[in-house]
Amino acid sequence: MSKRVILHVGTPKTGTSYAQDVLFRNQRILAGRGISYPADRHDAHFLAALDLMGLTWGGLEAEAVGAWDALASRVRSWSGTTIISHEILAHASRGQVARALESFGETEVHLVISVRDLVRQIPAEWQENVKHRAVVGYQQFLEQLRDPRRDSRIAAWFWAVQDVPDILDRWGSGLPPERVHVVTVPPKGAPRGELWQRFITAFGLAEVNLDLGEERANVSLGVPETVLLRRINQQVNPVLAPPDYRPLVRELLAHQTWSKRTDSPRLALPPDAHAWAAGLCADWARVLAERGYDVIGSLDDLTPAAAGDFTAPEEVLERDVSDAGVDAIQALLIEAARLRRREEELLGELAESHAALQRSYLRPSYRFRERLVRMLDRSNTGQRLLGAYRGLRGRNSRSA
Amino acid sequence: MSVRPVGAQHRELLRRVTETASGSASGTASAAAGPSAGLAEEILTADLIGRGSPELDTADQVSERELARVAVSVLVGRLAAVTLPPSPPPPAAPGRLARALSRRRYRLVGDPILADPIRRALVEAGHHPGGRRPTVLVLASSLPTALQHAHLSRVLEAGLPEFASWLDSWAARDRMPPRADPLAAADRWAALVGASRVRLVSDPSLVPELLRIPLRLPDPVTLDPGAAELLRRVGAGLRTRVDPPTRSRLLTELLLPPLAEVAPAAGASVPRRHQAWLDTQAACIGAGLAAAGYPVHGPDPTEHYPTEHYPTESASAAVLTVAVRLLLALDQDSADQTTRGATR
Repeated sequence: MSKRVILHVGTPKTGTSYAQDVLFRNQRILAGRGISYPADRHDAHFLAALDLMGLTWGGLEAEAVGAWDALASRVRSWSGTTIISHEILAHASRGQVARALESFGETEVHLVISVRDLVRQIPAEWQENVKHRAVVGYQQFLEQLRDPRRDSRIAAWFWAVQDVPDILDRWGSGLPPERVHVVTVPPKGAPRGELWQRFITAFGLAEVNLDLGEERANVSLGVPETVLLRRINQQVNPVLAPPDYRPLVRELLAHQTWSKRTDSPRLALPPDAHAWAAGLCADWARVLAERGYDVIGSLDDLTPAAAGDFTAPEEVLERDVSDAGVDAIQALLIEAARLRRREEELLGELAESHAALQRSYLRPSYRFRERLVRMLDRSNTGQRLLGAYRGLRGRNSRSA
Repeated sequence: MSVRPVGAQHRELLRRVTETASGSASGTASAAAGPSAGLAEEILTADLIGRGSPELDTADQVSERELARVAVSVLVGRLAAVTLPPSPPPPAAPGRLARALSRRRYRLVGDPILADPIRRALVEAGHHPGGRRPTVLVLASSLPTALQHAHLSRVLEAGLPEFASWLDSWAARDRMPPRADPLAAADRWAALVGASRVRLVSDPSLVPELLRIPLRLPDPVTLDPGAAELLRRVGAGLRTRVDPPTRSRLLTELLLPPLAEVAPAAGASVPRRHQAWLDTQAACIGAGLAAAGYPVHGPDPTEHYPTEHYPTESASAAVLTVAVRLLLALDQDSADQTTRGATR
């Protein structure tokens, strides 16, 4: 079996999390077929990516020291195929790409990139930003993306992880085109599972019987819910720490509560931005076709659907926002009640432990030993005796 | 080994460093006409760590944030390559009897940027803090300085958002950070040793006299806002390169001293949007101190604090200015050391 690494470098919002979940869940089955997905934890490749690019990520980066070299070492030591997947790898600079590819030694590198048209990507990225505490408005977000200098913080990140030809310039320029595999995300309305079938082809898993679990629907919010979330960010960012924001706002409100409000209008691109994004996608499709990459799916998938109804976040009905707000209050009250019950249970357990401790203190032998220790501790001789006793007993119970 | 690609941001930073060096050279005979070949190489091959653009093609695409990112990357690369010697063991603490007999029982608390070096100097001179019923000196700076010092001390230990965002979180809670609140420190110690043993010291030069210990005070380390932000960004960049204790030592021992030399604080202030909140805090702390009656040695830290507003230039512009000066200063130091070595 030839030694090779399949490196999936993005892009974000193209079904990457589902692919990574399946690969992580099926590590043993894959290993039995000579395919390694080297990850001791579900976010192992994310940490390696943080390390490679020196990225900070809400404190997680502290766990990433040396993670890329450790991953590369596992690639080098595996005799068959290794799969590495994380979408933020798309952000790597040319220098970091060179370091990454060098770290695999003689291993044959195959690059996989999954791509989706910008008309779907741009609203999804703004929403993702807002779900990560951003307060930037949609209009301003679009203006920054459309600025040709791309030098704002938001635009620099967005284009680093979404400009497909540029990402392939960085990651794929040293590889023969047949070793660069472009997976296109099928258009809306395609058969369920179609995208995963394309990943199976890209990762070479056609012969492997995998436990696919439940396909996670891409959690998207409606316009009123995203507007409300942005307002909440403006209010709570200074007072709510990231470890509290993640479970309470992103998970409880966005993912578990508002994602169920499927009747809300969905976010799209305004007509002028739609035309601009469609033009850019057409350019990309042409460039990718010229380069002769292995396309899994069709470059036609990069042609966006025709512009439909557009609801601007600034024009959303306040009634819809307040409805989403009531849902949020309900969810938070239910969560607060659950936590109150848990607190009562824990207090009960604590009281029981206290009582048990008190009972053991009240035993005459304990009280005698306690008096003896206090008495000995008052004199130098006594302290020496205690020290000798503790040394003989062999347990480190010396006072601090 | 492949040749590392050079982006427009690398070339532009090198151009700015060269331009600054030429400007300096025209005023000082000793300054080099440009960065050394080693520094130029370091800049051109710097890894682009953190968020931003990949290697850019043309200089007109390069923002100050990108230039600052390259400079930070150079410093991170340099620090991460250092192997620190083991920390020296702390001086042995005196025995219980010696501490009980000592007539100079003290605790030195408050503003950590002022108190920590003085306490270290006292310990090195054989005067350890502690003992029964000590005199407690709470070092207190003017409130804007206290805030900057509290932020800096946390940045050196862990990671924090930039100063203005950090202040936002305290202002939203309408509280002073504990490390910047002299009243909270004084009250905490008053509860332990009695209010009569607690003194507020806003003039650190009075510490030897108050403790009756002759001592040469170390110079306080102060940074201007751009330098503090540069230190914070380098600290963030080191988070994926070294473990937290090493990171803290690299920042404190290797980066802070030269930074303080090239960009010392010229007077602390807070961003305009925090001024009203700070006024309210100053009034509360002032009233609390007056009510408690702690003796104050030096000017009242809650009064007469500077009101000049925080610099309005972008954080990246300030960081870039300081970073260029620092790189050149370190380059000059290195050249001087080489010259001294050659003439020996």
